[in-house]
Amino acid sequence: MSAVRRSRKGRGGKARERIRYLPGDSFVHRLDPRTKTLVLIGFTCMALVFTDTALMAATFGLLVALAMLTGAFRHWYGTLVKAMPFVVLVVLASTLFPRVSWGPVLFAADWWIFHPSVTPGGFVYSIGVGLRLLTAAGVSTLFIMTTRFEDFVAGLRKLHVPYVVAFSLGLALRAVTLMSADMKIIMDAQRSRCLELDAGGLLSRNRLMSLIIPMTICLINRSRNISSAMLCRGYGYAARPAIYSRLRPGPGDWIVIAGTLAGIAALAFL
Amino acid sequence: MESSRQSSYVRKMVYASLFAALTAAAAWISIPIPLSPLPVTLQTLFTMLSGAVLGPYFGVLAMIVYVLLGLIGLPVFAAGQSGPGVLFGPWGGYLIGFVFGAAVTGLIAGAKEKPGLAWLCMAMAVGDIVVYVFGVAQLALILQITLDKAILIGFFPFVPGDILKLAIATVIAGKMKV
Repeated sequence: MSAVRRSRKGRGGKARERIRYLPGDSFVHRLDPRTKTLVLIGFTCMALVFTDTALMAATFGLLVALAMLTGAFRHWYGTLVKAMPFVVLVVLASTLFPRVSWGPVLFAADWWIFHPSVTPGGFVYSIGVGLRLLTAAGVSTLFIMTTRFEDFVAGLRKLHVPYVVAFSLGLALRAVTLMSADMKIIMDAQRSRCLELDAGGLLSRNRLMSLIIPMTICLINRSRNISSAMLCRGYGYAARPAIYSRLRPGPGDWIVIAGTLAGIAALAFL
Repeated sequence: MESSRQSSYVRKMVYASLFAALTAAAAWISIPIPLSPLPVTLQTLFTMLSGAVLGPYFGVLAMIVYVLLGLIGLPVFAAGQSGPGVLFGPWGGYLIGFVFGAAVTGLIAGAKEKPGLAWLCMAMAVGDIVVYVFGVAQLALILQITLDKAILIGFFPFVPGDILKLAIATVIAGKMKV
């Protein structure tokens, strides 16, 4: 049986791939949220520091292996594919205008004020840039897909982050996908009413109003629903809200923590 | 009385989270403009609104949460960027400015018990200027360019869009009650 329960599909159509928590019982799901936060920081550091393409490829390979362990690989891959047009654009730009360049010049041109040139070194470097973008996006996606909002907040509380910040960050993390889905629905609805959002840009009063007013109403509705639900459950009547789920790092956590710290230490020496 | 204060606190906390999420989602609607590598987004509008509607404390909280979302790796900064590199890069000053801009907007808007539209508009305009002060300063510092060049790249291209956003934000802030 798959470690992740199958996501519900839309009415007669393909399920929309979006970044959200996917319930499951994999090794990564069971890790303490603090461990996962450390892994997130570790991978982000590697994506920032590594300039060598081989090292970047190894880092990305490790991330793919982690994603496979979650059992949510198909969904993770689906969200990364969405970022591919941007990644391809960056790789193309880096190939044509490389910061690092070695080997024979395979192509060179003079276009107005631009002087693109393609070299094997520039191409290899641009692949590294693309992998860096995929690693940074992929690790945060994996974090959201395998961490429950409640566990994330509880983890931050254990790290002595003030409750108001921990709660807001946890809720915002979950709401980003909801709000972006709302925004997409609003844009589609306005397009279906013949509002041309793409032609001529958005900078006109009517076009901006047609997006911002429904978005603000969505924000108000969602905020009222969530806060009413919280107040119904007695939230805010105690100085320190009770958190019933107890977080205890297991042996797996210690192994992952040791591995991540070793990786970060190795980075410091490289 | 106590109960209404608690419910207001909870509401504002939820609003702050959702304002942060909406600011993040707004980064994905971008309008490329000439003279600047950074596109126009709706983020400044939500920065101004969060300060004016939620006040300085929760307005700042919303913006801090937004910046933290980007720092942990979600592609929520302009042009789908994320990570600490953006905050310390040439355009990172705007992100720091969002936090201070929301604070200034909230402080000025909250100085009057019942602020009118003109007062709200002025509060948000000052908050917006604060965003640009931080943005342009970091741009000049990181790119090692003169201040007038930084203003030319990092301020003037955004002015027409910001005037429009300011007008819309004023209307919304005047109607919105938390």
